Amino acid sequence: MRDAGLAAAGSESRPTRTRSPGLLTAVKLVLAPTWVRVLGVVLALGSVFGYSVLLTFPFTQRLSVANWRYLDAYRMGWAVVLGLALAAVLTLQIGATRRIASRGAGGTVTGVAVLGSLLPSLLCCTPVIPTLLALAGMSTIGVYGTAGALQRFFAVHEIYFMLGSLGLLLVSGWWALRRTATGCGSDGCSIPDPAPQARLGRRVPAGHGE
Amino acid sequence: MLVVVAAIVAWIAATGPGHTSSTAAGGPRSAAMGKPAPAGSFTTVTGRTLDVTALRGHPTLLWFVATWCPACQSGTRAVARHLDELEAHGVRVVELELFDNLGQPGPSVAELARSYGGARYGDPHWILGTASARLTRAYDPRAYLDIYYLLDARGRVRFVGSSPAATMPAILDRARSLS
Repeated sequence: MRDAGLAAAGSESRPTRTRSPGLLTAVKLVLAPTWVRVLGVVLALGSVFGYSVLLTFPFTQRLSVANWRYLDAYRMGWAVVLGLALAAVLTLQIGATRRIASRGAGGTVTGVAVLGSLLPSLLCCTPVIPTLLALAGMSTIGVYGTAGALQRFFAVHEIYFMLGSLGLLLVSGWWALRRTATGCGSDGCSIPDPAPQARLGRRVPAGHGE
Repeated sequence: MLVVVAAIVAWIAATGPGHTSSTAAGGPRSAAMGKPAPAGSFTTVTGRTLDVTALRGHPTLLWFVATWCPACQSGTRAVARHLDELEAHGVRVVELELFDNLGQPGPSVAELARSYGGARYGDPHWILGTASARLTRAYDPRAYLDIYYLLDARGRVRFVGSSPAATMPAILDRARSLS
């Protein structure tokens, strides 16, 4: 990692990074622009809508608002929780990326989390697993045993996939906030110090500002 | 990565059972559209053993389910809700558990119907049973869940689909043409 103090040494007018803001401060920093907050609301509405249709996919095997007929309190709850978590993570990631102009592994983790939350819905009752097994050349008897076991696994263990996905989303959100808090991306640290004048002469050696 | 996830979701949705060529185009070769429904036995919840060929004389919705499958559960509820309309078109429903529930534990088909069919359980136009291994292989060689065949009174396959919970309007439409 580049030394923040050295990075600022060549320019007196450039603020020196002397400390890391906490996670709460990072949230405030990321959500400061109005457009980020508006984006968050839009993403929340879209994500909850998307999850409400996708989590009820096993009942109809169609992507349609008609799936809402099967939206009980349990699935509605998960749609809201996962939708809001996804929207929060995406908003934080976009906001963080805009602030520190870097990309990390957060996007991949988020993608894995979304995919994980949808796996039971997409695989428990669709012909994807039997078709793949048949394409793999498995015998009819083998397809019956394996496809049944795999499909039932996804149907029965749905809750664990949801919890795992929620965990990944939380990790992803934390990662985005941490990137903002440390102000360091792959290309270095660039969070402006909120009160540079007050810290003139208090440069912190590399590694001590974290 | 999110784009990849969206692409996977779109592909799975586009290849759902109701859209697959193997079903929408007429089912497996053994039970192709327009052909006589293949023979095969099943055992009803009342203990009778019947053959599919014995269903001739009435249009029949022959439906294969795994009792642990969410789509089959919602489909059972949908069938119970629309049983009167199906009866009005002379169609009876034969809901069969795939042989041995595809090797997986689950409630019996009677318990499934009682749980999701409510008061319609026991209706004489709604036959419940368990398919033999031969019958399961003939109508569902790929072990899809929730696949159905609409047979006419002469025992010919007239419509193949999946998920009655989502396709009941299409079933009723086809049933109307059979009556």
